[in-house]
Amino acid sequence: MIVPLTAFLVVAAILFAIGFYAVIAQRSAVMMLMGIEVLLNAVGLNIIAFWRFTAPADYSAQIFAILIVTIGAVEMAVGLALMMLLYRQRKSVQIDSFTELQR
Amino acid sequence: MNLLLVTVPLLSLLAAAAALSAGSRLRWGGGELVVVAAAVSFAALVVLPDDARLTAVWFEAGGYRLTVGIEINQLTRFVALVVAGTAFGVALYSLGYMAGKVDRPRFFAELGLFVGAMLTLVLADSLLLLFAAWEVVGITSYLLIAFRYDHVGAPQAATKAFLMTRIGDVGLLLGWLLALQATGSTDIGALVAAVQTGQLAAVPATVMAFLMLAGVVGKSAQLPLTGWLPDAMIGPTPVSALLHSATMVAAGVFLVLRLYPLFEAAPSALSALFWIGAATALVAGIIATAETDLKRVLAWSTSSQLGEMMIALGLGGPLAAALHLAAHAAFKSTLFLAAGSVQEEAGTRELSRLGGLIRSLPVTGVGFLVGALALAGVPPLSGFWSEEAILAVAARQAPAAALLILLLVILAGLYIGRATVATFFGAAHARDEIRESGWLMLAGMVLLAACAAALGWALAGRVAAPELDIAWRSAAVAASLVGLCIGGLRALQGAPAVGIWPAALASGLMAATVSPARGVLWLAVKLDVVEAALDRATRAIAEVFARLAGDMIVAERGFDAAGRIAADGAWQIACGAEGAEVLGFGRGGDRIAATVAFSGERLRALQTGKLYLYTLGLFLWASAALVAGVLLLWL
Repeated sequence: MIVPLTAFLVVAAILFAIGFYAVIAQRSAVMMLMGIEVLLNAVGLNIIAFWRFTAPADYSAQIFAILIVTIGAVEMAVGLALMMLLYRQRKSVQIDSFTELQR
Repeated sequence: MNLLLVTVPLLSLLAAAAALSAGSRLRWGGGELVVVAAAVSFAALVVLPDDARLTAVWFEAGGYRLTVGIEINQLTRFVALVVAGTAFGVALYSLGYMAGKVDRPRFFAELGLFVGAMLTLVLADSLLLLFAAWEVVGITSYLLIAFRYDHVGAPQAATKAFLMTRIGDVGLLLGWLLALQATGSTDIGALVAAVQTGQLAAVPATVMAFLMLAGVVGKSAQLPLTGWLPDAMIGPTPVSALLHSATMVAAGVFLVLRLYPLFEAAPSALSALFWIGAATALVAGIIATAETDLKRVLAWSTSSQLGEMMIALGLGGPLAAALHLAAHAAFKSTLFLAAGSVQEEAGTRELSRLGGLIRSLPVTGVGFLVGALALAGVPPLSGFWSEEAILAVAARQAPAAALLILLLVILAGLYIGRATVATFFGAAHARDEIRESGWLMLAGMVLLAACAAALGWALAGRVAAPELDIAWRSAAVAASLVGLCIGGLRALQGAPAVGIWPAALASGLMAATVSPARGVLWLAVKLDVVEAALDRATRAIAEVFARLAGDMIVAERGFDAAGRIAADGAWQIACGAEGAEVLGFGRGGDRIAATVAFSGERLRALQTGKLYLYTLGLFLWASAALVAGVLLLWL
């Protein structure tokens, strides 16, 4: 049986909602970064689904998806490095304790 | 070929520019450049074929074609060779003469400029270019006479030379403008063709010839414009040798040679030429017998010899004149260079304080002697051949003219014999420790002396074939020997050759030639009266205007009062406006500022520092943008 496009879109929407919730509601910086990653992959799934069902001859969507994965990896590396440095200073990764720029 | 042709005049100009800009860093102050340029020009002139010509239209206006170009033909090549050769010898001499003197680069730059301009003058095939070069030559003459501008009298002599030649130059200018008017072109060939085919009527040809004659008289120091030449002797001796004896003053003779068909078409101009030349040759020759300054003797002699060329031209013997031009350039520049050595070594040019110099200056003395014998016309030196050619022309035309030439030969022998003996023989008056000058000066002089000795023999058969009675020939030789002997003997007695009355003649002539200037001054004094009348008239007009101005003042006062009222009104309005401004704009502005500050405080609350709020805002904004985009697409 062929999985219809709608199913992919629904899964992507659910993933996006999970990521959104994680970014908004989680207090731990690590969890927020994971939420961002889920958001990115939701979008990537959307792109692949649309490519597969509307324009299978065009490979640019695949390239785009690979780029998204790459950017996600880089972003994760930078974000985790930031968190490491913050943790060394404060012994904490609770996002609400970093409010110096407000003042 | 064209390049070589352009090189001939241009090289000296380039050498002049280089000498001026970089001469102070060179061994000889830039003089070596001028020497090389003159030598290369000479060689190029020898090599160039006879019909080499380079000409271009400068511009055309209303049917007039103004051309610029240079050409080689028999005449121009011959005279250009004389110019370049003399320039080479004199420049070589100048290297030694100027060694250790101040302002060498300026001297050589001016000398190079002269050589370039003179070669341009000779080679020019258009009257326009010829006139331009003529003027440049005049300017370099001015600059070089006043080279030592701090010497007493040098600036005055330079100004005198410049202004007196200018009087003639005006004639030349009008002459070539007339030629342009008549033929529609400045091309010399076109003018000559128009004269020869009879296109040019007799009257305009005569007028043109007389106008050109004015330029000739000024440049070649003929009567009545002769007074500048003796005074020009205050310049450095190489300048006297090159400009004021050999080349520049011969430009007048050259101009007549160049335009000879025009003068042939105007017999009255030719006879005027003869009479001017005869008068100048006689008077200048007589004055030269009594002059006491060595260089001034030579200067008067130059005037006299140029007069002799004019006689030849006037009698219809252009070839004889050309031959005498070349011979004169050689022997007179030799004489001047020797005189310069004498002045450098003995420290004076006064004949009464010189004497017996042949023992301490043997080479200079022999050079001077060769030049002097050539000038007197002793065979087989160059002067003999050229004088003989002139005599042949004169004997063919009229025996009286031939007698005049014989008289001139006697006079030449008189003054040059006297000058030679007084300088180089007899008892020594000057200091003892006189030594010969440097080898460069001697080289330049010996070169020219060799030319003076050999030139006539080399050229005699080719330029002008003299067919002369043996009687006239022996009479000429006898005349020159008689003149030389009398002059020499009188010099040994320490007296002027024919008494001192020629000196009075000289001062009278000088006064006479200055009299035109005095006339102008007198005219100026007379014009003063007219000027005063004009002055009074202007003053009266000014007074009328002043009265008018008085009336205007009353009207002006009225305007003034009205203006004041208007100003008061404007002031009131301004005061009212100020009040409005304070009340309205001031308060309003304050209120706006307070509002902005208050809203700023409120907006500040948005910056909570809570990350989730920022993220939420981001998502909300993105969703809003999406919704807006979808709506826009649908609608």
